[in-house]
Amino acid sequence: MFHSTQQDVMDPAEPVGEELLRIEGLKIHFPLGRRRHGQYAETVYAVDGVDFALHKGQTVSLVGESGCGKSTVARSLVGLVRPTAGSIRYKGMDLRTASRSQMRMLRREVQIVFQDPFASVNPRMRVRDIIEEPLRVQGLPRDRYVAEELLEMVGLQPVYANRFPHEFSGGQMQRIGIARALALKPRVLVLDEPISALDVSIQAQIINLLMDLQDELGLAYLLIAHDVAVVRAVSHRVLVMYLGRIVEAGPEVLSDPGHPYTQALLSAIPSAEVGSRGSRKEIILEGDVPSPTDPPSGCRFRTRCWKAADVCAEEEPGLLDRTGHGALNACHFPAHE
Amino acid sequence: MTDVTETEIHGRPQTPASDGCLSVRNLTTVFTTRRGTVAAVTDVSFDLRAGETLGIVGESGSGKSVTAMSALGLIPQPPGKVVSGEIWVDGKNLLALDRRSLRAASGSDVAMIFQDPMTSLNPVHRIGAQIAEGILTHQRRPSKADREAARRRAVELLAAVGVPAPERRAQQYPHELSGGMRQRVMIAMAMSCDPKVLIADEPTTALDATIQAQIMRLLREVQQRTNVGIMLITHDIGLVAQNVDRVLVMYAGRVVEMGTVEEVLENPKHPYTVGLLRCTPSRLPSDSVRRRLTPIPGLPPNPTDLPPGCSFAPRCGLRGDRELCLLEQPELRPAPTDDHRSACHFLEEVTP
Repeated sequence: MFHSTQQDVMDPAEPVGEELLRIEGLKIHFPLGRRRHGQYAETVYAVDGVDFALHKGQTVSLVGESGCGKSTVARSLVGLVRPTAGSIRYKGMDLRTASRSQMRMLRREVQIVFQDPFASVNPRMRVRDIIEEPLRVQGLPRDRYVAEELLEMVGLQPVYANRFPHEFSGGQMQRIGIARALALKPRVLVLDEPISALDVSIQAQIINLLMDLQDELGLAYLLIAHDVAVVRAVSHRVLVMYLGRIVEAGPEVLSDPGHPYTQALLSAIPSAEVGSRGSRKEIILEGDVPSPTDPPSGCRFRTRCWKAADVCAEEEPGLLDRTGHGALNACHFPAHE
Repeated sequence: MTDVTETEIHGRPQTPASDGCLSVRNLTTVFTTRRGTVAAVTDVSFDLRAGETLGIVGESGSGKSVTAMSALGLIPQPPGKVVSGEIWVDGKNLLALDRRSLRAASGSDVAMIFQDPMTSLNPVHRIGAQIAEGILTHQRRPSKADREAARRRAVELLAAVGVPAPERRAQQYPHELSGGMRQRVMIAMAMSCDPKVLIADEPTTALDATIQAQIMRLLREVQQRTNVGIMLITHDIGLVAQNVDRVLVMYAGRVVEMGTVEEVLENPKHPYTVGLLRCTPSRLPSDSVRRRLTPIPGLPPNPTDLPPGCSFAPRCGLRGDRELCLLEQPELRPAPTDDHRSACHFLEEVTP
């Protein structure tokens, strides 16, 4: 289960900033139904053995389809769900054993931006109060113009501080959500589908803003997204998840996929070039993702995989550097490039 | 668009092209709100031929869904109102029909599938019964034998859209199905009366990428089998590039560009289309070099307060400080052929 703990998850070739967060053997299970004789009827294996690290100034992205556990990973980093097993370490401190004052520090330095900017604010609060709320909760001094400064930082006019959420468009509101996350001067930002609710022309604005802020402030990002093209354009490292596990990880897995699931996922994204019509090899997977309450034995992707052999059902493939390219791959039969 | 001339698009409503299975002429739909009248769709005209797929692209609020809903008489009145225009299907102008004839036509002539299949299916009825209901609605006083036939037809339709074990599935409720399976059920339902036009409003937006690929393949198969004309409403340029024959690009309720998919995506002649293509991430090279995207500056206009000239002018990089764009609404004109039209005063200057 803890197959890749010994491996350095970052690509050694890349210059890497200070390590901020390290996740090892993370498992998050949700029991379902009523407890009988100390046992639950079913368990959702939402996250089942995930390892990775976040470094200063770097973007690590988690891609995968709905239900693969990517949002659960994100929520566990900010303490919204409790891990069943495994460790989350921030600057060497384990979240499970951290003291109260350490937890306070950690809560300040790891912040989250949510998918729906309107659902994550109180519609009756003014923008100023929304942005200042983290400071209030932490009991920190609030400088007079802190909201105005943060608004300017995210490319909005300072006068917007006195307005209410309904006066803004989705893109503007997401900027306010980012300003709120920045209020505590965090080191790590968890971005849970920050652009999926926005129009394409606005998506690009937000992505560029996030990249500028990262360069300026040296933030580490964990980006959760399902848009492979966006992820490819902004990430230093990509983790592909399927049914609670990472199946492939590396800086280039979205341009040079080695795992059959990554290949199918990429093939399923329609190319925006008309010229490529009909010429691309299309892999269309059959069936649906199996239920996370009862994941298949061995490799979890084998029920939909065209390469599946007997060994796939018997043996769980570890996330290893199988091709010598520095990318980690959890397939018994990775593509050789 | 073969025989539609300038006057037909902007002049008085004309009779539709003979080979068009759906012809929309000068459609204008408005909504009355407390903050004033919103022109959701203004003067939209297009043709959809049998066996063809027409893509309607645009951002939220651009009027693409309202265009489709107007065609089915689904605009809630009030606050909405189809102010003018004609929608011709099979020799009938849907907008001139009374309620009863429109009810008969919708479903049998024009069918629609929606973005979220869960909210379009009734959660308390079995899948098979819901499909059969659509079939029976178009029969006058169905007999017991008709009902039995409709039920059998529902199972056949489920099998035809690739639902495994259709007999068992027909007995299930919507919540027992996955999102992809529910969308298959919606397609089965839409195809139950052999419509001539299928309107697919963001049919895969709620689905995962691998399931989206399955559903798009299914729609292509259904089209080959039945020669239905499909109107695909989407914001995904990739879906358009891979699946449609012709494209309409909408902005602020108007068609700003139309043409074959090759022409519009490879040789766009409207600054908005150019901007939209530029900020589409899937058009970036597929290497893993980190790069900034090219957004369209500014925000879409407020629909209650559209600028007098070209709606895109405030965000347009091509305008410079030319007054014409702010004063005069540009009309769709050949760019340079009738098959490719753009509503830009300076379309000759547009470069991809």
